[in-house]
Amino acid sequence: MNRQRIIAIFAALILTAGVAARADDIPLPDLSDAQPQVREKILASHARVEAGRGRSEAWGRYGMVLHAHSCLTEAAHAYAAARRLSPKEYRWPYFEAIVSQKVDPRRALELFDAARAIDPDYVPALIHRGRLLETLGDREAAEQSYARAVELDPDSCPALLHQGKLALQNGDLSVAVTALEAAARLAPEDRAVLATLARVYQRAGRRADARAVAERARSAEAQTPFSDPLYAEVRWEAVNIRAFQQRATALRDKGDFAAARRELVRAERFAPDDPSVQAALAEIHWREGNLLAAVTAGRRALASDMRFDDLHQVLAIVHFELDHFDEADHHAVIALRETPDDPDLHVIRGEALTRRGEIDAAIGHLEVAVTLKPDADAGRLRLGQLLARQGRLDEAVTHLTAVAQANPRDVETLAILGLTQMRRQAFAEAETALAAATTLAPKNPGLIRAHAAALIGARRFREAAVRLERAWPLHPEAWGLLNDLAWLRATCPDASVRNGQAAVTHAETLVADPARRTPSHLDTLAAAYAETGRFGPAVKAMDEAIAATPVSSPSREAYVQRRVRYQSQRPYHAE
Amino acid sequence: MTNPQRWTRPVATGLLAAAVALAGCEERSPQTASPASAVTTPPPADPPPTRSTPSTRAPGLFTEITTEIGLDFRHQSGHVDGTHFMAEILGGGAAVFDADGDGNLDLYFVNAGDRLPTDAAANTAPNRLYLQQPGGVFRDATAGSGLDDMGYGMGCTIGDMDDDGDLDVYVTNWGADTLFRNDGNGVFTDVTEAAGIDNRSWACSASFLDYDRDGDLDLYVANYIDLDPARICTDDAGRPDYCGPKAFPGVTDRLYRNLGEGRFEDVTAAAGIAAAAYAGLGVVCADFNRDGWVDIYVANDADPNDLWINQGDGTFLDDAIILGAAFNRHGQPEAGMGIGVGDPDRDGDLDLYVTHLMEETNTYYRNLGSLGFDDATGAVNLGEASVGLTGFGVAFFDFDHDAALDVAVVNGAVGRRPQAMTSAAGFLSDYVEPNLLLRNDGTGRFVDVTPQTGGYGETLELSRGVIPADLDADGDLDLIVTNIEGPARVYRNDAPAAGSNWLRVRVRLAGSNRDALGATITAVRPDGTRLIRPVIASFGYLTAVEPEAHFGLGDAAEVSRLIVDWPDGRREAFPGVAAGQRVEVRQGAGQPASPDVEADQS
Repeated sequence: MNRQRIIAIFAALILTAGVAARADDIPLPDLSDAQPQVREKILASHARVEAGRGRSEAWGRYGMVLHAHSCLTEAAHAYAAARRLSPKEYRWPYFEAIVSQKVDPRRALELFDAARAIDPDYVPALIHRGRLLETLGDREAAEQSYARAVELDPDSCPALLHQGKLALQNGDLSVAVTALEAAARLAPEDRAVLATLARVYQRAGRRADARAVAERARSAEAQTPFSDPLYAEVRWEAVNIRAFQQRATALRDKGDFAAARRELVRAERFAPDDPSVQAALAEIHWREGNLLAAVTAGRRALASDMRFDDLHQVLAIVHFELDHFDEADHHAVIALRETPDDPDLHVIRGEALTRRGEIDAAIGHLEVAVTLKPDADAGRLRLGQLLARQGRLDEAVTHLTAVAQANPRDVETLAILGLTQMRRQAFAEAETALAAATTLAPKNPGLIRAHAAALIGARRFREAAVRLERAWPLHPEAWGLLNDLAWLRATCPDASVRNGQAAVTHAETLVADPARRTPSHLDTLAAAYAETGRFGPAVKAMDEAIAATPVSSPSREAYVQRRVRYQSQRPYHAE
Repeated sequence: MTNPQRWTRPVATGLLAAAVALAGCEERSPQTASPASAVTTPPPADPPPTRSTPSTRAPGLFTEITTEIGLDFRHQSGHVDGTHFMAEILGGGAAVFDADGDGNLDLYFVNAGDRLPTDAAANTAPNRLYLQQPGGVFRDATAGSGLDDMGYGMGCTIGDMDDDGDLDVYVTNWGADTLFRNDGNGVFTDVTEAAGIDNRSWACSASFLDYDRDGDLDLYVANYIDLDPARICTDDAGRPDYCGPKAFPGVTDRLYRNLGEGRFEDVTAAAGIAAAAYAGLGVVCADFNRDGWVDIYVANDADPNDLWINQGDGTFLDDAIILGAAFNRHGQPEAGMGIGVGDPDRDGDLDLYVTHLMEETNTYYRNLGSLGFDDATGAVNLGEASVGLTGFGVAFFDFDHDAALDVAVVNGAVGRRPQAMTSAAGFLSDYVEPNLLLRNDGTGRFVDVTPQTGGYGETLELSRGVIPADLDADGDLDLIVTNIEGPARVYRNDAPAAGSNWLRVRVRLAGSNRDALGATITAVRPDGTRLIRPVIASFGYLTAVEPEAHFGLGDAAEVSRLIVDWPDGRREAFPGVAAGQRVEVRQGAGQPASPDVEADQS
C-alpha cells in the first residue's frame, strides 16, 4: 500500500461517487455506534436527498452534514453529486477540495482550481491553495496565491502570515518583517504569527526581539481562527457533543457566555449525563454569575470518575463567592495539586484557613499568593490584616500601604491601614489614611470615631473635638460617637478643649436610656461630673460602672482607680 | 442503491483493486540469501490483515523473514473493546543491540501487557528478549534475563550507563520506568531504585547522552501527558475513540545526571528543562548547532517541539521557536511523534524529519546552520506521501547503498480513520495503515518507492517502531518493525545493487561513554562527498539501536578519510579504509584536526 495506491483508492471512490450519483445512489455511512442526534441528523439529510435526487442543494447539504461528522468518503460522494448537478455553484468543489486535502493534495488542488474557475477571488480558498502548493513543493505558485490573497484582503492575517513566511524562506527579510508585523498588529496573540516573526527577527540579527516574541508565541493560546464564512457553515452542521463543546468554547473565548451556554444546553439535551458537558456548563454558569447553577452542574460533573482539574478551580472560586468557605477550600486544595502556582487558589485557601483560625497557615498561603501575583490586592489586604492580628505590624503596614496605593479609593483598605498605623502609634500616618477614608465615606460614624482617635493620638485635640461635634448631629443614634465626644470634653489634656458642662450634657444624654448605662458610658459620665466638680455623683456613677463590669475584665481595675481618684476630689485630666 | 454495512467498505474495495493492480509491477530478482534466510521455520502465525499473503507477494526491496528467523513476538496492549485506554494506542517500542556480548545483534521488545493498567488483575505478558543464535535464528531468552519488565511498557533506550562495556536498558512505562543494568551474558538487574531514578509520569521515548561532557551517560526522558483514564472521548460522529493529547495537561520531561557509581540525580529544574511541560513523544540527542555540545530535540504532540540548546554550563535553552524547529511551515504545532535525524542533503549538518498525524504532513526541518531550520517538506517531496497517514517510527538510512540517506516511516492511526483502509473485522481495522519507504534520488529529493518494498509497504498494521539494523551482518540495513496488538516483523534488505558499497563504523572512547554517544562521524568519499552520521542510540519513536554508523558508499570502493567529532569537543581524522567492512575507530589513534583544516582539505 503506498501513496499512489491511496490516491488511486480515493480517485476510485470519487469516480464511484459520480457513478453512484448518476444512478441516484445515496451513500450512507455505518451509523450503528454514532451518537443518536448525529444519526438522526444524517438520516434526515439523507431523506431530503432521497426526496429530491435532482436537487444540488440537497446533495450538497447532505455532504456538509457528512463532512461535519467526518464521514469523508460519503461527503465526497455527495459533494461530487452536487457539483455535477450545479456546476456553477462554488461551495461544492470548494468543500470537496477541503475533504480531499486531508488525503490527496493533488486531487484537492484540482478541486480548488475548479472552484477558482467559478470565483477566483475567495480569499480563504487562495490560502488553502497556497498551503497545498507548498506541500507539493511549488513554492512559487504558493507565493502567487498568497500575494493575490493579500491584494484582495490586505487585512487577512493568514495571508500576511504566509506571505511573510515565504519571504523569510526566500531570505527577503524586509518583506517578511513588513508582512509579519502587519499580521501581528491584526492578531497580536496569534501564535503562528508570533513564532514566525520571532524567526524573522532572529535571522535579522535582532536577537533580543526574537526571544521576546518567541516567549509571547510560547504562551499564546493558539492561532486566530481562520475566517472562512463558507466553511463555517459546514462546522455548524455538526451536532456531536464535542462540536457543541467546541462551539461553546469558541463563544466563551469571545465573551459571549449566553451563546456558549445555549450550545452546552443543546449538548446536555442529547447527553444529559455527560460529565464534561456538565463541567463546561459549570464554568459558563460561573462566568454568567449564576453561582448556584454552577455548583449544581459542577457537582454532577464530579459525580463521575473523571478528573476535572479546571473544574475544581472554578468551584473553589464559586464557593468562595458564595461564602461557602469550607467547600471553597476543599476544591482549592484539589486544584492546587495541579496548579500550585495559581494565586487565586492560595487566596481562597488563606481566607478559608483564616476563618478556621489557622492564621499562620493562612498567612503562608497569602504570602505565596502575593509573591506569585503582586497585584493580588484582595490577598494582600487579607495578609495585611492577619499580620496585624499577629502583631507583625510593620509587615502588615507594608502590604496594606501597597494595597492602598493601588486602590486609593478603597475605604476598607484605608480604614484597616489607618487602624494598623494607630496600633503602631504612627498617628500622623493613621490620620492621613483615616481622613481619606472618611472623605470617601463621610457618613460612617465608625470611621469618624477612628479619625478623631487618630487626631487625638496626634495631639490635635481641637480638630478631634470639631470632627466629633460636627458628626454627632448627623448621627444621633451613634452613641459611641457621642461617648467619644463627651469623654474628650471631659478629659482632654488641652484645657481649651475641655468643657465639663458640655461633657455632662452629652454624657447624661448618653445614659438617659437605662439600656445605655453601660460601664463605658458610666465611666464617661463620672469623668464629666468630676470635671465640673461634682465628685459625689462621679463616685456614684463609678460604683454603678464597677458593679456592671465583670471581675475578669481588664477595665475593672481602671474603674476602681478612677473611683478612688474622684473620691479624693481630683478630676480625670489631672491624671 | 449503495448502502454499505460499514462506511469502510468502499475503501476496502478500492484497496483490493489497487493491490491487484500494483502487485505485479515491481518484479525483482531474488537477492542472495542471507544466513538468516536459509533457516527453515514453521509457517507464519500472523498473516497481515491485507489482501495478499507473503507467499503470493512479488519479491521487492525487502523480504519479510520474521518467521524464518524464529521471531514470534506479538505485542499485547491489554486492549478491551470499548475502553479506548489512550496508552494502548501509543506503545510498542524495541531495541536492537548485543545484549549478551556474543557479537550478534539481539532484539528486545517492550510489551504493554495482557491487561490494562486499570485492571486489578496482574499483567502476565512481560517485555521480551530474543537472543540471536548462530545461523541467525532468534531464541526467546526472556526467562532468566531479568528484562521481563511487567510495567505497562512504551519504549526503551540503551546506553552503557555504568561504563562496564555493555549496554544497559531503560524502559519507559505508563507508570514507573525501569533501569536495567547489563550484567553480561544476557542477564540484567533492575537498578532503578538504587540509581535514584523515579519517573512515574507517562514516559515515551528516552535517550542517553553526555550533556555535561563529564564522560558518563546522563539520561533524558520525554514524558507525555497526565492521562485521566476515566475520560471518554469521541470522534466527530460521536463514537467513542481515543483521546487526543489536548484533553490532558502535558508533563515536564526529565533529565537525570549521572553521578557515577550507578547513581543519577534529577536535574530537570536546574538544567532549565522544567521551563516546558509539553506532551513529549520522541527525543533525539545530537549536536544540532555543531558547537561541540550535545543538544536535545523533543517531538511534542500538538505542542511546539523543543530544541534544547546546550549552553555548555549544565543548562539548556529551548530555542526551537527562534530556530524554526518548533512549528511547521505554517507556524502551527503538529502532532509530533517520531524523529528521524540525518543529513540527507549532504550539506554537513543534521536535519530532522518529524512524523505526524494524518491530515498533517510529516515535516522535514532542514538545518541551515547558523540560520536555524527551515521546513522544506514540500521542496524535497517528503510531504505528499504522508498526508493521509499517521506516522510514528522513522529512520534515515541508506538502504540501497547509493550514498544518499533514504527514509522509512511506519504508520498507524491514533483515532478512527475517516476512511478505513481495510474491511477486515476487528477493532483495529479502523486504525491500521501501510508503511512508507522514500528513496533519496541523490539530490536530497525523495521518491516514494513503497510499492517496491513487498510486505513492508503492503501490510496494514498499527505500526509504531522502525529500526534499521544489519541483523544478518551482510552489510546492509534490515528493518525491524513493531506493531501494536500485532507481531514484530523483520524485513531483510535485498535492495543494494551489485557493486554498491558500504561501511560500518563503530567509534570508541577509552574509559567512560565508550560508545561515544554524541559523536559525529564524517566519511569522506574519494570524490570529496562527505557523509555524516550522528552516533546515537535513540531516534524514531520508542526505539533504540546499537550506536554504529552505517554508510552506503555507492560505487566508491573506499573512503579516503574518516573524521570524528568526539563528544568532548575534539576532532580527529583517520586514514581511509576500504569499503565492505566493519571498522572500529578509537579516540587518540587518529590525527587531531581542526574544522578549518578539514574544510580546506575537502
